[in-house]
Amino acid sequence: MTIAFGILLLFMATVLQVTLADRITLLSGPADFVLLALMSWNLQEDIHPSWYWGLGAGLMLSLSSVLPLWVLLLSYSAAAAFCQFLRQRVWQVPLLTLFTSVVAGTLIIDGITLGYLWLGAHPISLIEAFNLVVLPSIVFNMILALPAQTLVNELSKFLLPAGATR
Amino acid sequence: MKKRDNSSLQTITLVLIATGLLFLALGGYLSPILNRTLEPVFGVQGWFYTRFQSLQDFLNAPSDLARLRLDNAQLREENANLQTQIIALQQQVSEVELLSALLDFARARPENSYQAAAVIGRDPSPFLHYIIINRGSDDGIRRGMPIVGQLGLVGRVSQVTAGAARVQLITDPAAQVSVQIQPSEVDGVLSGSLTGDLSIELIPQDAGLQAGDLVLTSGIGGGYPANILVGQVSNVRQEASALFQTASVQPVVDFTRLEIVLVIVNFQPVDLTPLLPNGEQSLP
Repeated sequence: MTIAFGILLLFMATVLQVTLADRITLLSGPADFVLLALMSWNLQEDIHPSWYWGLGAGLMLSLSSVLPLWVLLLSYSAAAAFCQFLRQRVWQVPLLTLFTSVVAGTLIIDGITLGYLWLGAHPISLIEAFNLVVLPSIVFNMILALPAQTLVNELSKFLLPAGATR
Repeated sequence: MKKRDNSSLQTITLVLIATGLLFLALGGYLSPILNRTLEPVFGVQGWFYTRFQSLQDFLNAPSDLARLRLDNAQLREENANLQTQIIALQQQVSEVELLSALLDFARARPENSYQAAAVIGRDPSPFLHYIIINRGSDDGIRRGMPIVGQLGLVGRVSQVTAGAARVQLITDPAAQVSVQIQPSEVDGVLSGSLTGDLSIELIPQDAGLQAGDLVLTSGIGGGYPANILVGQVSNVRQEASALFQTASVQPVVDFTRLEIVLVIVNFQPVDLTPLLPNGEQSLP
């Protein structure tokens, strides 16, 4: 049940990302709904955090992205692994964990993507990419992090009966 | 005999009185008297009517309330259905307008064959400008085919599956299109950017460009058919020390609102890579 709900959550986030994220941007930086769902899910009290969820997110995104599968798998599982690590270390301050995970996750995902594109001779200015995409994306993700966390929390409480997540 | 005379006299008297009263009434002379006489009658009648009406309302209220609630529910449901129909019809109208514009575009270029496709997604990466369309190799779509909107060039197919295709927009940072600026007939290379802005590089310094000049595909390089509208020059940057000048281009297509596009299916892009020295890319 927990796994099914997690997969459904990531799937819905992927659909939002593919259809909506491009239209709502801060400068040129969109919100990363998949990252937000991934972090919110990994930070649920009753959920055991795991980088495996990052593999699922990368796999779903690869269906609609030009980027190679390994780039998406690596970036999202690295972000999930960081969240997992942080939760084990800073478990008493969930808000701090959430915001740090979102900022670090955005940097990891965008960093790996930019690195791949830069090594592939894609004509992207790294400074421009950082100023116009990465930084606005971080701000946008931080703005949406708390609502996303609350939404996922309420949904999981509503859909998953007590004890089913353990 | 005498009785009959008396009877006739009474009848005549009554008729005369009645006629007189009638004439008086018609002349309006009886109105004050009638008003004063009928006023208390009307008062009593009104009093009874209002009381009776109140009583009738009181007795019928429960059934009326139930009926009103039922009517209200039915009207609300009908209203919701009509609202849904309005939204559906508005969507159909906008779709018809879009298709009509696309049809006009296709009619203006009868030499090309088109396949309409709906945009079903966008690349989730903010560094890449790609869309996904719902037509693939099963519909005759091949890699490299140009994509146009109702106003002009959108991009070209970069990857194809059986039922869908991925399209690289001309706004993608890696996209390059050989264009010609009208009326000066100067050739250049249109490039996309991270922010989606378009610019033309490699324009000779002596080319006289102005804001508002049209930008069309030139067909050089074989990547796109010639004479497809791309946009208008919005700004020209010319520096005395530079070898070339640069122009910013305002695209005619609104890339944020792409819904339906046309694939030019009878255009075969030319791959010049084998003809070029090692390490060089073919012209866009």
